[in-house]
Amino acid sequence: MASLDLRPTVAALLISTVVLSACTGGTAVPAASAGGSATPAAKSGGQMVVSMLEDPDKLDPSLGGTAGGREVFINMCEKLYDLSADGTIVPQLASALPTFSSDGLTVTIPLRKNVQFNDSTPFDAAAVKTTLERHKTLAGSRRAAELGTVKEVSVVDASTVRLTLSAPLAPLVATLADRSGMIMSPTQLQKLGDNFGNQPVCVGPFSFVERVPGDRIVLDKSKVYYDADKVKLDRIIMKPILDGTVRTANLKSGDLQVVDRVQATDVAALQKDSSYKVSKVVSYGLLTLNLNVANVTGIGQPPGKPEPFSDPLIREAFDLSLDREQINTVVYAGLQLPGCTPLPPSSAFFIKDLKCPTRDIAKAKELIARSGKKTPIDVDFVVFPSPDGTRLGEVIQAQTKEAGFNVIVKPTEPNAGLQASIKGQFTMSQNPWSGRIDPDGNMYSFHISKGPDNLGNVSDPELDALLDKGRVTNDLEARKKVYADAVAKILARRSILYFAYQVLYAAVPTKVVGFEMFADGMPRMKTAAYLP
Amino acid sequence: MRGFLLRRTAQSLVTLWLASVLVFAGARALPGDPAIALSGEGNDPAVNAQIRAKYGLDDPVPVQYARWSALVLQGDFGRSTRSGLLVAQIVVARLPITLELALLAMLFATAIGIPAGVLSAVRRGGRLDAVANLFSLSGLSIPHFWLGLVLILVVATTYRLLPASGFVPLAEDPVENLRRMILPSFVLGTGLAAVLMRQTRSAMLESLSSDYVRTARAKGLSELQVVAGHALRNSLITVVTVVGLETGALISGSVITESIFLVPGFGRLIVEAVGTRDYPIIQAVALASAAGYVALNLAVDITYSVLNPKIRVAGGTQ
Repeated sequence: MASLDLRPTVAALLISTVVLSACTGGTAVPAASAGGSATPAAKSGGQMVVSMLEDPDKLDPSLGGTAGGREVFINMCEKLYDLSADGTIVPQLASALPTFSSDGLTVTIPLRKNVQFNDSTPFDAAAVKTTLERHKTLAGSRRAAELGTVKEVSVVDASTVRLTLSAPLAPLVATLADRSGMIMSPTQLQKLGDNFGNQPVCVGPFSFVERVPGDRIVLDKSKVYYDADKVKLDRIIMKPILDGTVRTANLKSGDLQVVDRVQATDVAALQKDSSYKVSKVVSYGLLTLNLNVANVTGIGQPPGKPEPFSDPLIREAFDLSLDREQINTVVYAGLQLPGCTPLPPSSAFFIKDLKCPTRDIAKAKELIARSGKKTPIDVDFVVFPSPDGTRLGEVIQAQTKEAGFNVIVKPTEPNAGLQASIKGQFTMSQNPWSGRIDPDGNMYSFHISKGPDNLGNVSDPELDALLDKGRVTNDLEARKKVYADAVAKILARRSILYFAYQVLYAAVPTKVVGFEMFADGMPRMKTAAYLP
Repeated sequence: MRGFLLRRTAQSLVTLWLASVLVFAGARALPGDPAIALSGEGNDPAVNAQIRAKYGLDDPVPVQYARWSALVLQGDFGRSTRSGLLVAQIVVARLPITLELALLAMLFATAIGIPAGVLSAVRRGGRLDAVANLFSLSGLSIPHFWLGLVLILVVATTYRLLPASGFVPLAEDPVENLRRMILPSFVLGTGLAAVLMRQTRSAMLESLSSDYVRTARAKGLSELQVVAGHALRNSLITVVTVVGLETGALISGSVITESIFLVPGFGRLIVEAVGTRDYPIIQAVALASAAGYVALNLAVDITYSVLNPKIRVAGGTQ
């Protein structure tokens, strides 16, 4: 089979441009680094306590579904590919970017040599095959769908693995730069089977020591890591701390050394305090409102006409009554980046010239009049039961009132909210998304007909065709065009209203160097260290 | 006596069974389920279906209950749907932490509340009384969440006298364990201290105006002997009763305190389990709590029956 080296194409495709102006002209920084890489002056040894967003689910790359789990994995389970500080995808356990056959159906991945898992099992192609096949076949695997088009994984030699696809898959490399690309020790898999997550063993700068559910996860410096020279800390302790105020208080008391997410109200104070460094990164994450356009009995069921958003005029009127800048200022202390598409500035696919809708109450009123609906139009708005959630509800309530909407804010526990949304028992809901490197991850499941995250249950064959095309188009420019067309349709459809791109803030004491957080929002502790 | 014991034990088991049924059904009445909770951001119906099948969540609730109770009777509480760890291990690890917190809070409360109540009663109408009443009012009205954060900011952040949060097992480092438990147990104990202060003051005022106190004074006893040896001793009967009644409230009130100070106790466990719809944990924690209350009541009943045989007779035993 003719082999085509697509590495330059893949690299180019994955280069995330540093875009300094979004719709609003806001400033963005692609990656956060507290003091950059650990300098030679940084001392070896010691431990750091790192906050986590939540207590993770199973620490098993096949089964894991939470952001908390990803925060742990990033420090102990390396992937075939990784994200770099500048937003490009770089080899991690692979030794180079993959080569694709001319038809895009065969992907050859060269692997690093002389690498060991943290239990000293050699890392090789057979281990990669074992993991990828487990990802695909394990009951409850959340990677199965991501690797759905991977038909076969074969070992070419000890340091080369080949994937045979049923259809070209442009997001494959980005997929292998997340949990699907995390390779597990075959020895530990054989030993623990489905319970691998109780004592996970991967290749990584730190190895798993213990987990006290709800309290801490302890990782120690790996004794066999191939890049051990860069690892300075002896131990990291990861603690789930849900409350932002408590996270900041613990940073100030010295009980925490890394706060992975500083809440908006604390950012300014920490920035002024010379004892701390606050870094920020424009992530791939999105802040959105989901509108119920056609979901009355569940996603994928025959579409209905729920009030009021089944009417496109009403959706447009609602969109035009929003002031994204004001939402950012009032709800998020001006710290997020107002926007309106599923492609943030950190993405190579960001559409620079796109103009977001601006508030136009006169037009909104006109649209409502054309729809024939009587005002006020009731809109139940399900928000998270948090200060941010409530503020968001109240600001949108105030903004849309002028146009003729009566937004009723309903703080709801997330599980209950999601369950109701899936069943179609909602009108509008707050749905943030942490984001994915590839545009497919930010768009496909949310907008494809019957997609699991298509809560509005909307269907548009033309948009479906574009999203499917985006998955199989490898050429960067052609793919950009496909997604630009898809975004235009998404903006016109308004089943999801995007109102900001997530900017993440992390804080460490000034004596900490080498802590990094890239656009994926994961706290990277590999080079973290203390200054003498 | 034997019949009484058997009947009380049987009643306790029925109570426990009813509690387990209620909790089992209640957990499943919550919107969402472990599969939805585990899906995190990525809601995949196919995977959710596999998870439901794995944990038997598609079966009718009575079938699920029968399967769960059969395993529990064999001592198997299953695994957490969230973490995959053994439920029994998780519960056993976290229960002593809350008990320690409650015990220390009780010590704080009695150490502050009783002396404050005594002083307040002895100096009725004076400055000490006013200060003690202010303390009592504050203790009852200040929310634990606010007080906890203020203490963290002042004691741990500004002056760095104590750690802000976290837990170190007693067996691992007793000194560090106590250092980390001081603030949370103080916060948890403030409410009880206020109640104890009010109760002590009230009981002391009644005692101090009693005939036997007047007699003691008339006999020429010192004020210390009168207060400590006579008035306080009698007042403590009421106070001890209150302490006993408030024990349960301390354990259930630990939820917020544990969350602020990141103490991995029983309270946080149940909150997290409900939030993540971790049915096995919810059921085990609720069953353990119910078993504790039932066992305590049973012990009290038995003690009463030993102390007062009429209770057995009144209960119908021969």
